[in-house]
Amino acid sequence: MDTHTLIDALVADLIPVRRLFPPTLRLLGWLAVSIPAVATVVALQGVRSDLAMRFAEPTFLAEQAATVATALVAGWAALAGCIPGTARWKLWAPVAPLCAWMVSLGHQCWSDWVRVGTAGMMLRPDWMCLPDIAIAGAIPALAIVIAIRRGAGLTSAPVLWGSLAAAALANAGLRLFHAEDAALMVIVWQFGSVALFTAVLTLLRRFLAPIRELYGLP
Amino acid sequence: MDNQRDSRWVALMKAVQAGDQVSYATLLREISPFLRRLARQGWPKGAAADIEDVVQETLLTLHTIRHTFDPGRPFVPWLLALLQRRIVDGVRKHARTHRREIGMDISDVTFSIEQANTAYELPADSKVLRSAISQLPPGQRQAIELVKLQEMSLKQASATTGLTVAALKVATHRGLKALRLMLAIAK
Repeated sequence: MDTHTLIDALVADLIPVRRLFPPTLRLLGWLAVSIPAVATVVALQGVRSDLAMRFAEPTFLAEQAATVATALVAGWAALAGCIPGTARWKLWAPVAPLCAWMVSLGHQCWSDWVRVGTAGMMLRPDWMCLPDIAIAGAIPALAIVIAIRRGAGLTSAPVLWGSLAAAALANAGLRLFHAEDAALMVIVWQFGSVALFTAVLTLLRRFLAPIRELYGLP
Repeated sequence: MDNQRDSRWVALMKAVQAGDQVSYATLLREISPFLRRLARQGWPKGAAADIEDVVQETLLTLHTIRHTFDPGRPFVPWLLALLQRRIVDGVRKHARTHRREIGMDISDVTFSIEQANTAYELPADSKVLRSAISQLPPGQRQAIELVKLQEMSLKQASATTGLTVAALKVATHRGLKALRLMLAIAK
């Protein structure tokens, strides 16, 4: 097809469109859906009895802060990544809170080792972490996938960060009702579940938010 | 100069999002040569047709995702992200196609030996064949005449007869089957 003919066809097909809101506003919209969803799961499961005590501990607060920061920055990066031409640093921004989260978990693990030695490194099965994170993260993940699909859909990075955002938010909720504080257990079962949830959604990205491929010109 | 041009395109794009067709035509006509030039720079080994494909795919992408443009931001980086993506797709598509296809020159002499084994085949009795065709039902006869004797494509035959391609395929298939049967009986 001749380019001039294509231009004429595109012009004839033009209709007004509703502009995409800025990523920050869209993030607020996502949080407005996701926070109540996670809060409902926490309420249904019942808040852990030692929560007030745990909130008095700086390590727990630092870990929770890093988890929530990961959810917020990853969610924002996912939505910013939907806009073509977004600065590259924005797409890498979630790495910083993610590292802070991992460092806080590593620090707790080291403290356990120093405090109680090998007894703090006991690993036992805790399979409930994965379904809990999947249930708590389902609505946030669905909401962010819908938001990502409204975007340009030229790269797969938004699905990766969107999945991480949903999983991190779910994990922040999980820490409020799941009474498991041994650092190694948290790393393996809770952070591992976050990683698995993120990996599975990212692998399904072609179905969740298909990349706009070539149109196949006639 | 570049800033002025970008501001102009931002204003046009803002009007495009509101549904202004005149601004859209102006914008697309102005950015096409710009895209073509950059596509050539981004894919120096691309043939002219490949470059034009990239330009057209970029215009189509712009059309589909025009709602993602924020008039508060510059237009060119937004547009270049689309172009870059389409160049990558174009190069991949080209590489994929070339892995499977072999380019061949059209030459007058295709084979150095005598063609096929026609010399050993018994010449078909055209009279018997013509008589067999005339005995076919009208639909099948017409399909055989157009597709097999006049060597029209199914699409051309469909345009001539007004029948669908599927109907023509069926009629041709049934016609050939009937002919095979009639010629076998005639032998």
